[in-house]
Amino acid sequence: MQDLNQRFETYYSEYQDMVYSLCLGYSRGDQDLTNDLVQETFMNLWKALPKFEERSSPKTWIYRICVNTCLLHIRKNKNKQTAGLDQEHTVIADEPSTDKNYNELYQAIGQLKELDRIIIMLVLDELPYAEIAEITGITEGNLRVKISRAKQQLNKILKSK
Amino acid sequence: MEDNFDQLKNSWKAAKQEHPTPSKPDMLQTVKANYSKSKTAHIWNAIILGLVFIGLAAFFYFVAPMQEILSRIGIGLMIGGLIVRIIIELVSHQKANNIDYAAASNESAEQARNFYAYRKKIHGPVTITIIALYTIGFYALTPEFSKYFSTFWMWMMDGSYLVIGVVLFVIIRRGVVQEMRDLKQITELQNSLSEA
Repeated sequence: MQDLNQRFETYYSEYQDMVYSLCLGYSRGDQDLTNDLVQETFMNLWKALPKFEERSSPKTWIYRICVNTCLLHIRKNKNKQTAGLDQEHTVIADEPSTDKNYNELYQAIGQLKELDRIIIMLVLDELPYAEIAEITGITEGNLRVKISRAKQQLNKILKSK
Repeated sequence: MEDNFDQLKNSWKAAKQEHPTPSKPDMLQTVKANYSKSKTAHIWNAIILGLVFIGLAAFFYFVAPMQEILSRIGIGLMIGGLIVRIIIELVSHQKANNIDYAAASNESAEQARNFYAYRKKIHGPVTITIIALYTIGFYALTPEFSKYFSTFWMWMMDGSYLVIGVVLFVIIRRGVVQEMRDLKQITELQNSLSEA
């Protein structure tokens, strides 16, 4: 148990930024939802920890847990969240943010579909395509198509601003 | 297009630096507490159903031991239905628990879809059969009960079962509709994971 505690603490301190930014981007900047997702991700990590033997990289493993937590969590609460989307954007826009790009960033990413949003954030995190394919289980060929389509869509969104 | 995307990449990096993660020093304790709370909630569901089962069995054994065969069949159907329901709850919990969040997303989505497909099966013929048998069992007690209670109380008893039945139907239906919506959404997610 001591070992599990230590491993959890290590993973938490090393990867909390990565998990947080993915959850924040996925929740379109909604702070409450982000906190829920981060907590749920680390709860799922705690649950899966005894079986993890570090044969694959901890980073990929944690990305998987985080991506699945987001996708399945949003599924559970999709209707509620979609209804609140406009309000969420307003909340972000109203904050005395230091960076206009910061708001635009979440608004632009937030307009993509859930899966595309996840994929594009992994690309923004500069993960190699092979690793994104490993995390999502999407073939590399399909992944390239999806990334290219999501980039085009983002481009349109950014141009329209 | 790449220029815009590079700009977005830079904003993404900058946003990460400008908005640091609110660190939670007691995350391990929070996670442990939430994990044990979620486990306990499911155990409590089974315990409550188990207590109803014990109460029902004790009632018919100590308070109202029925003598007629029809009544005994009725009790068997009611208690049997409850036992099947408890088993279904435990199996459902186990299946939900088996969704592997550390697997690739397509596998996790497949497991989640299987779980909801199982729930769909449960909500369909299985639940309808359990409710039907439970109702038949309940009304099978009426002939023997009517020997000891006035017609007014028999009407009250049978009528209250109908009212409770309608309320339960509305509550259960709401849950079923939600779960079927979840199944549809997870199937959509699974499709988007497999198609280009």
